[in-house]
Amino acid sequence: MKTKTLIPLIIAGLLCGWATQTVRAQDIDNFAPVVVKTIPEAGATNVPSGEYEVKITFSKEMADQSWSWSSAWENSDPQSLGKPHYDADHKTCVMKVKLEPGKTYGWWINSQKFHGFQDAKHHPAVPYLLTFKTRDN
Amino acid sequence: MKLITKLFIIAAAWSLPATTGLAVDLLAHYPTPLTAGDADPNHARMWEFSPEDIFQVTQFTLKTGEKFKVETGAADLGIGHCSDGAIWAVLIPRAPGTLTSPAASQSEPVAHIWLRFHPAQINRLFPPDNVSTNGNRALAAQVRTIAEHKMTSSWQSDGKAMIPAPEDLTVFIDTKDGTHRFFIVDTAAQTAEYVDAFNQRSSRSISATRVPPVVVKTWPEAGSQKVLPGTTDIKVTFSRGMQDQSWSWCDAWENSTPESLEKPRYEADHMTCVLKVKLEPNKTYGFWLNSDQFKNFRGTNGLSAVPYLLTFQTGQE
Repeated sequence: MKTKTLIPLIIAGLLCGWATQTVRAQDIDNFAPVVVKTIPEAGATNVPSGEYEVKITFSKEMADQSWSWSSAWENSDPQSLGKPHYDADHKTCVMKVKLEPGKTYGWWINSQKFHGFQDAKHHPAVPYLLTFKTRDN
Repeated sequence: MKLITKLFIIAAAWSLPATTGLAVDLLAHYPTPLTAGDADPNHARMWEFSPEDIFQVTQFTLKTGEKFKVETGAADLGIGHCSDGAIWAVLIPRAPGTLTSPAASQSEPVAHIWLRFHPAQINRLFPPDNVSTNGNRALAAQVRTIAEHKMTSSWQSDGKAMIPAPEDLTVFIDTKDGTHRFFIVDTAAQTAEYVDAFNQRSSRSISATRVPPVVVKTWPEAGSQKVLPGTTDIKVTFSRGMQDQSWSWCDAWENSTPESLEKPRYEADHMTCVLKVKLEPNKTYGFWLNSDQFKNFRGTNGLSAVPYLLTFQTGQE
C-alpha cells in the first residue's frame, strides 16, 4: 500500500475496519491479551548461551497453568529446564531453558492451532512470534 | 379397514430415509450435575471420546445477534464428554453448511464446526428431535484429530476441560476455503466476538532464515489506561528494518482509530513507525497493525509483520 496522502490511508483504515470490526469497543478488559515485552527481545542476535530465563509479558493478568509455547519451525525451541511459571504479577510467564551458541531459536506464543495463553476470562492471547539468535562462543 | 391401515403403515415406512435411527436425548445420554461454570485449572476434567459418541443431526442452526449465524443441513456429530456430562462437540456437515459473520463480506462454506459449552446446554444446541443414532462412526479418527487440535483454543488446562458458564460458548469453524473462524459467544448478551488472530499464518512458512517482523514495543503500551488526550505520536517499533511508505493501520472495530493528523512515517532507524493523532478524553482506541486481509507493514526481507492488536484508553483532560 503505497500511501501518498492521508485519504488513501483513511480509506484503507475503513476497509481494514470492515475486516476486523468484530472486536467490541467496550471495556478494555474484553480485548484479547497481547505480548507487550519479551526477554530476549524478538529479533535479538547476541543472546548469551547457557542457562537462560525467557520471559513473556502480556498486557493483562493471565490464567495460570495454561500456555502454548509452540515450535516456530522444526527443532526451533531450546531444551527446557523446568515447567513454565508466572511471576507474581500474573502477567509475565517465565521458562528456564538451555541455549546453545550460534543458534536461532523461535516460538509461537499461541498460534493458529494452540491457544493456551489465556487471560483470566479465558480470552486467548493474540499469537506472537518470538525469535532470537545466540552469539557464537 | 385393518388391511388399509397396515398398508398405510408399510407405505409410510418405505417413504422414510433408509438411514433413520433412534432419536437421542443427549442430555439424558450425558447427564450432568453441573449448573455453573468451573474455570479452576485444578478442576479441569479429562475427556473421553469413542466411535459410540458419534450421532447424526438432521440440521444445526446457531444464531447470535443480527450478524452471526451458522447453519447446516444433516451432519455427523461427535461428542466429547467427562464424568460431568458433554463438554465439546464436532459437527461435520453432510449437506452444505454456511457461516455468516462480520469476519467475511459473504457467507463462507463450512468444513467443520468445533463447539465448547456448558454440559447442561447440550439439548439447547442439539434438540432431541434433531438427533439420531445414525452417525458415521468411521469419522471417529477425524473427529478426534479435530478435537485434539481445537481443545487448546479455550476453556482448558493442559488439554483437560474447564467448564464454561452456561451462557458462554466457543465456536471455532474451519471453512472449506481454508480460513479459521474463532468466536467467543455470549448467548445471554447475544454477542459473538470474532478473534481474527487465529486465522493467521501457518508456522510452516517460517524458518530460522525466514522470519517475519513482529512488534516489539508500542507507545502507548497495549492495554494502557489514562493516556493523556490531545495531540500525540503513536509509535510502533518492529523487530527489524521495515519497508518505507507501506503500512496497514487498521480499525479494530468500527471507529476505533483516532483522527490522524499526518501521514505515518518511519524514524531514522526504519524500525519505528509514527502516526500523529488527536486523542479525545475518556475513549478506548484500537488498531490492528496488519490483519488477516491487510498486511502492508513489511520488513525489508519482504515478509509481512505478524498482526498485532494495540488498544488503549485515554483519561480525562
